[in-house]
Amino acid sequence: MEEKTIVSIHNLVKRYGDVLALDHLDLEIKRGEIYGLLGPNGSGKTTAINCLLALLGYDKGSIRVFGENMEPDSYESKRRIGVVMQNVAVFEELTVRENIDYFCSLYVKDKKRRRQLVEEAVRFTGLEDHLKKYPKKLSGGLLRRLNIACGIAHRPELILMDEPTVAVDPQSRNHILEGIKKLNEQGSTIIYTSHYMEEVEKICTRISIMDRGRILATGTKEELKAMIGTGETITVETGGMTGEQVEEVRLLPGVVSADCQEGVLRVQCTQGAGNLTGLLHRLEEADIPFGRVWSQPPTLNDVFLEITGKRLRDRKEEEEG
Amino acid sequence: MTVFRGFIKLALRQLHMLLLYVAVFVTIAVIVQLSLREEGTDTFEMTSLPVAVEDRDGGAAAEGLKEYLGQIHRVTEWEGDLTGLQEKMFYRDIYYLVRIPENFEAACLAGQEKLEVTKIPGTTSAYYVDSQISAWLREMKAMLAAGYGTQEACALVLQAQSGAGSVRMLDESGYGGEPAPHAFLFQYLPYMVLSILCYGAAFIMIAFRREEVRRRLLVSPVPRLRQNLGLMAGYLVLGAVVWVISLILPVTLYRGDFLSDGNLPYYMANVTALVLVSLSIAYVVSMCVKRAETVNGVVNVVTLGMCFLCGVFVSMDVMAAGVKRAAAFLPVYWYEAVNGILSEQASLTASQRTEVLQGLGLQLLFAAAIFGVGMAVSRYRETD
Repeated sequence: MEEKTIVSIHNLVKRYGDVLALDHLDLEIKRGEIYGLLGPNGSGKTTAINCLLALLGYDKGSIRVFGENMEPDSYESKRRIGVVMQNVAVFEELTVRENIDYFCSLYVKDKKRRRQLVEEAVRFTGLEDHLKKYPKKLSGGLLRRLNIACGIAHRPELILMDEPTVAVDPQSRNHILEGIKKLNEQGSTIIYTSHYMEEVEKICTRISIMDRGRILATGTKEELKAMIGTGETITVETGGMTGEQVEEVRLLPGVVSADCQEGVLRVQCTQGAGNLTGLLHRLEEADIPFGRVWSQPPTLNDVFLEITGKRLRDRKEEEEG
Repeated sequence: MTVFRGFIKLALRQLHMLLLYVAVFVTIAVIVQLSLREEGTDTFEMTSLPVAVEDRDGGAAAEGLKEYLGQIHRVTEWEGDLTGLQEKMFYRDIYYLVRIPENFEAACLAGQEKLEVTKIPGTTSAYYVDSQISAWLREMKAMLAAGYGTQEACALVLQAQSGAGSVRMLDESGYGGEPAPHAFLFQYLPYMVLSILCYGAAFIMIAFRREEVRRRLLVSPVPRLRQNLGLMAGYLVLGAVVWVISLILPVTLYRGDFLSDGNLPYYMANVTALVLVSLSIAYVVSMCVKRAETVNGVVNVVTLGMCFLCGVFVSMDVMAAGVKRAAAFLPVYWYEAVNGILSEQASLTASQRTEVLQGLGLQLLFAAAIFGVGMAVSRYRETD
């Protein structure tokens, strides 16, 4: 019988000396999911992945993959897993095609079958025009695509992707994210770690938010957003407001905070209906002219902020991202 | 098998480097061998010098002496002054002047007067001609004392001189006393073997030991043991290729000479030991070098250092005793020691065979010890 739960991590504890990297971590990943592990750098995502792949030992807990305990010699389980490492893991001395073929050959012995799989991986990652190039000649985005092609060429049932889009240009990032969705549609279960909330929000069917080695919340993005009290953020272009007028807005029911800078009013609301109409009604009453108005539902960053009291990425990273 | 295939694929990427080393090596070895062949010493010939004679006697004995000297040297009559003689001697146009005095037979051969000569002080040529003239005088005195007439005595001495024993050079090497022609190729071989194996292995292992690739291979379904065996098999194939090249080169360049050499099995054994030693050194080097940029530096220090110290480029004969003592702690020294015996002896005596076997054994011990060090470094690196 085909198991429904593919990965089961229970009560996992991993220490690096005095540092508690994983703090009684519990995870359960079901077949067909794109499971997102979202957390800031150093939250324990990569450590969790390394433990899951038996690259790292752990102090306590258990890890089961495909219903079997995951050990360094769990070769049958490893055969069904594809790995896309955070750092690009390819041979610089081999061409794009040779790299994909080589890593595929670790799993698939039959040459004919392998040739077909390599072709598919090349098409899938859009590397057709770069097959004879050496990795050093590829851009950052193409290199990441090659990394992914090497990880997924053997068509694994479970794919672990550890921050596969770090330092990738937006075009390649979209290509990669679309590819991940396609892989999932083709039947692969995917574990995707990232500190880019937009990516996780875009592709993951279920998300766990991690910080300091712990899972803080798990659910679909809607479920996660529903967990918090923060609601939509309303932005209104005005001709300018006085401090008193902004203070009046702040006192409206359902408003958490209000701020007006250079004529743009930004209002953070609590969850609930009628926030937008209440705000616009108040602006009309106060004779404050306004132009464009838009409302943003809460993001995972808001969720993270509310749960941990800190932002998912620091401001500098956010600007770069 | 997958890791082995990867090793071979990466090794093929270094093919240009291998060919370059082989080409440079063959060129140098052949040039050195040809230049030494031109200076061959397989025949003996007495040295002939420009000797001048000032004959103030003109008698039969004087003629006899001139004829005797003329058989060995390039004799010219001298009638010039002292300044002219000094100039000629300074420029080595004349090495020796013999002044035959008047009444030579009565004065000199009777032992009453010494033969007057002018020679370049402190030179071997002076002693050389001195000894020849002394010998002639001795023999002439003996002949005259025996009752022969002057002309008859001169003829007999000349005859005795022309019937001098023939000189045959001792030919232990089987190549006219010279080292075997392929000996030079084998002398320089360590540089090629060490360089190819160290560079090849270092570049390949850097690729396999790159942290990301190593981790990627660890999460693959290929067991760790099989991965290591694959790498070992790759090393051995690389060594085998270099071994074959090392033996094909002398066969190609010297054909019959090399194939008919009685020491052929020992040469093959010596090259095998050298390849094993070089493989072990290459293994250690590849374990120690982390980045491709540092390979050149490390490999150059190891190969050139070892080759200079162990008599690959400079003959051990000209090295100081201290250097030789230090070199004995390096495996290539023993390779060269064995090669030296093989190149100079066409057939080995029992003691020479023992020396050769000891040299081979020591190389194998070095190979095992160095490989052990490599394993220890590898283990340390993995747990690091």
